[in-house]
Amino acid sequence: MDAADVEHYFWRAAETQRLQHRVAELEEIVRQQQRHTNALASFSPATLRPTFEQLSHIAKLEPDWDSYGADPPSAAVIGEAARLIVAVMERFSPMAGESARPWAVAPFSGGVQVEWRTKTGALEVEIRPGGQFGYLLEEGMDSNPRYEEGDDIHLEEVLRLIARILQPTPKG
Amino acid sequence: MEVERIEKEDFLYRRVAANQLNPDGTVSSAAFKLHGKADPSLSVDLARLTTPRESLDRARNPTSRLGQLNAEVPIGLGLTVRHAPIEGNVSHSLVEGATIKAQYRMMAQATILFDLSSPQLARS
Repeated sequence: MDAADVEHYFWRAAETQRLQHRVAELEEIVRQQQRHTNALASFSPATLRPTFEQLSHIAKLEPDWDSYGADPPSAAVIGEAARLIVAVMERFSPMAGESARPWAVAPFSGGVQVEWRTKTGALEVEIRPGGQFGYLLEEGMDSNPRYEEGDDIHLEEVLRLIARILQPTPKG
Repeated sequence: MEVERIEKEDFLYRRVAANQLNPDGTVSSAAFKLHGKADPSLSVDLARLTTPRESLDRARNPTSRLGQLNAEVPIGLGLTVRHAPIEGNVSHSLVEGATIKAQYRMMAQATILFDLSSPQLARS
């Protein structure tokens, strides 16, 4: 093992430690929110560990992380994304189970996009640099999908949109 | 540098960060957004004026991937695709005019990633 290997080993160990610390912080957000809402614990914080690990990686992005000059998302944006994900799990996991967990989490310049996907639709929610929510709803998921989108909406509106794909209204 | 006309038959390259890939390996529309809205002036490379390797090497992050998109897709969505060379990148082009997010969701769905083992990405 040469000096570079040793340096790499310690760098990786430090990174892993930082990541574990960040995941623990996000799991604490879950516990705080559950206490705040007096919600019955319908899911374990560990259920969201893979999602929080993705958020932790996104939290470590540096300027120009996409090679097109993107800004890294702020800590406030990461925290807001975590709170949104927890709110959705609390509201919908008792009846929707695994579908209440985000299908994908991805960064964009200055923000984070969280996507939920079911057989009947998909909802992209953007948490923008100022913490505002935007969305794109795709219903149909077939050869003729219908789209609806908007910006600057509140958390309750996001939850109503998620209900549309997790609990679609029967046709007819 | 002469400005080229981009036709429907042309192909475009767009670099995609590894954390902008969906769990099924497709490209997230987040890769086409600026501050949470459709990027009104999206940078791409015109394929016939560069190579996949050259385009990918413009990313400093070694985990970046390269997506390919037929110019017919944004043109068909009513967007403008124009050649806009810059210093150090003669293939640089712009997709302009996006006003709704659905346009970029459709573009993301039509983007095909180069396989990392593709001979086109081999270093010469």
